[in-house]
Amino acid sequence: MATKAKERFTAGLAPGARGEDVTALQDYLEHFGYLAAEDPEHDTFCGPSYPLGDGDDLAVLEDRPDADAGSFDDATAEALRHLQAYAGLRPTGEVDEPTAQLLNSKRCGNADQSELAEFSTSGRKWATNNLRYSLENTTPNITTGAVTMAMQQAFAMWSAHSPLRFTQVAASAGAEIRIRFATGAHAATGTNDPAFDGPGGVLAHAFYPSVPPAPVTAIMGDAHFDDAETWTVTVPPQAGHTDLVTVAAHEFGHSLGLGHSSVNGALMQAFYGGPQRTLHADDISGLQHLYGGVTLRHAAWIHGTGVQVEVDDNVESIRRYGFYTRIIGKPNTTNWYHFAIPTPVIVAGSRLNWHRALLRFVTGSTSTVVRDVHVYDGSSRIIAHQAVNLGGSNAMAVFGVPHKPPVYWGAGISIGVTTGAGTASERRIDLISGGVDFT
Amino acid sequence: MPRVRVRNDTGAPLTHVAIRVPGTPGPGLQLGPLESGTTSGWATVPVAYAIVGVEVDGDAGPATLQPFDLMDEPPIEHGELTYCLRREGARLSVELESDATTGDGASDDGMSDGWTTDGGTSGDAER
Ligand SMILES: [Zn+2]
Ligand SMILES: [Zn+2]
Repeated sequence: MATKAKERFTAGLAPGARGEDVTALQDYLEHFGYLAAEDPEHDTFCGPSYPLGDGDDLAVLEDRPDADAGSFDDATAEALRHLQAYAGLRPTGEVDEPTAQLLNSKRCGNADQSELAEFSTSGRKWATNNLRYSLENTTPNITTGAVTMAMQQAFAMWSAHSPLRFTQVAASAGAEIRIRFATGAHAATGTNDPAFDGPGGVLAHAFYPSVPPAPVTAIMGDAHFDDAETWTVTVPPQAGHTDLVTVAAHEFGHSLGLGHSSVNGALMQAFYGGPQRTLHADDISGLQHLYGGVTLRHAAWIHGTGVQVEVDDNVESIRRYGFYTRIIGKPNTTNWYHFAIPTPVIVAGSRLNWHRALLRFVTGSTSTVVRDVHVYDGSSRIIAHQAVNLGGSNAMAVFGVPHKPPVYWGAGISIGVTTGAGTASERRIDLISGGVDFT
Repeated sequence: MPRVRVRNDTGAPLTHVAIRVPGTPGPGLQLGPLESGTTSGWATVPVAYAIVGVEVDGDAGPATLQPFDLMDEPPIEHGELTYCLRREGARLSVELESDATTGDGASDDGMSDGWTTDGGTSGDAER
């Protein structure tokens, strides 16, 4: 089934325009804090406080430009230029094509997900949410440990936004998703498993689950990687190397029943475009269409002012404001910031399980990014999201824990932040909250 | 066997154009250079798909398109396919020309064995 996307914003909206499209644009700008809100009430995830300007605090946000509703006036154009500049687009003050794409992609929550859908699924899905995977072999270019971590991260991208749990089991255990590296013809007897085509060409393939209640065959869900490719987990990859995390996450999308998407930026697009270690809203829509969405069950947060810095020497300045900590890193440095999350371990006699880590933050430019997100239970690192490289405004960044293990000793989220060159404003990160959702 | 060709709709000349039918071992087909708006000559391939691997170079620098896989891509064993290359900033895209196949299937059933063409040549700017 393919559902055609209904684009909410189209290019061509410019100063002087009036009407519903302008009102929708103003609502959007209000929602993300670029225009003064008519209704100051805001929800938990998508408050109007993004992005934070220099020295912003809630009081300052009250002074955002005030536009005439339904009229593309100067205040609307100014707010739009602010948004464009922040997103790294040309600040034209008009809704041009790149801006329309931004407006249509930058959604919050799941309420309007059907409008985004251009994924395809055909109803293929697993009847269980507890899926097992096995690593049948590995690839010569990467250590087995790194391949294992790459697969965990790829599954975590899908588990973060669904009730699915992915547990690694032994190769002999008959896992639903069996992972194999192979070259050329590699079909087991009696299976329809196409040959790989050597270096270049296709990178991998996977096998859809059945359409319930049709029976599941052994090869369904399996993912095969062409071992004639040079696989890597290093970002950016060397020329001629291919990011295993990205390709694995794409193939696991097929293993779960998703087809290709025509939405720009979706992981489930047909073409590999280099490392992409987060899902696009369209991927999430497709996933949740099959397996249902997730709501926060037992979330625990810590306020951004509680963040701890690992290497003080790499910090140019640190200041705590009313609702966040602003850290300006020294140019071209990396640092780690740590959130210690208050952890409900046993609630009403039942031990909780991990589902995902949550972060709310803003960086001053795309050269300052949250590169890695590591999640700890006590002394055990239970998932590493490596090289996610998230910059800009992140109202709710979500990082799954694929096997959803029991919680024991307390949650810690450590974020590795790389700071580029540039002005102090461009080198800043505003840490607003860190949290964990348990299940 | 299907014949394939490429049209340069990137808006700029391409000094190098190569395509590779996914799933087929061996080097790609060299179909360039191609001036802006022009179409390459035909190349006969054992099988084709609606998607194709592409490698180009030009003023805007090199760019590639590499398919992850061939999920849901039926093989096309007859007919003629024109792949149109477009470029938006650094982003290269390829699209099968909509009138290059009959119907929307681009599969065996959708193609006519008697398909005829005037046989485009390099520099052919037909549109
Ligand atoms: Zn295979
Ligand atoms: Zn695919």
